Amino acid sequence: MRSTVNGIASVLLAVIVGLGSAACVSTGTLGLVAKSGADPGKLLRDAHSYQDLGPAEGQACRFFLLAIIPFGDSTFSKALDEALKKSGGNALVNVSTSSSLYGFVPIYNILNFTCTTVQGTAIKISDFGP
Amino acid sequence: MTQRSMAFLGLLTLAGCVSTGSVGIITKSSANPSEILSVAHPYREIGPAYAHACRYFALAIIPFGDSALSTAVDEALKTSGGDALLNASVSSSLYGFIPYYNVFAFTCSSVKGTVIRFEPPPQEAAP
Repeated sequence: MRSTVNGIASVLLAVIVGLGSAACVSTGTLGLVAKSGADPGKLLRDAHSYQDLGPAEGQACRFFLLAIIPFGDSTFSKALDEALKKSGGNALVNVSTSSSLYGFVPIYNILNFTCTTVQGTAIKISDFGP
Repeated sequence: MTQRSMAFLGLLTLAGCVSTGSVGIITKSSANPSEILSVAHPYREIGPAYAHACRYFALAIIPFGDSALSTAVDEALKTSGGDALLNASVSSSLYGFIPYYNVFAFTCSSVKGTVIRFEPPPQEAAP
């Protein structure tokens, strides 16, 4: 009897965690995203050569403890910086971006957090800072 | 006194939950990035635009909405018919109401920038 109750509780927990994990991510795509520079319009006005640096991924999260203590940075720009930091690139092409929102323990607000993730191909564009 | 405390708490929640950053250029997914970079594109500035996309979480078990930045970008460009955003300011917010009880939480991605539309490349003069 006790093992049956434990089994049901485990299944319920798995369903709740699965529902929370799987259903809380929204995704989308973007063509080209470049870091903030002195004159981003120059990127379009002139033709540029670029170097393909391979796939890159970055994530940025913001947390909310007990619904009163926020910390962290979940901006897209932070995730982009994170993705480009490793490769030394200054832009991402064929970008996939996702935003997630998680909460734990239904009803009781112990911790919420949101994360922004970017994935794409890092490139280094010539004559374009930084 | 209680009202002041509530107002302070509300202000703390609203003010403390937005993080912002900036991006030089963001184009729609339909744009061909390699073509954008390798060929000079004249463009026309249409003007400033702002949009946001939100995802909600009721009772920490019922999620709905879409907070991806690409949704906010598409929204900003849809109204103006633009192709890209220049000098974009991006922000992400996370809100929860009523400390300790997780009745409702939501996160939003916002984008603000100058909308541009690509113009046809100038025709080369015939010899």
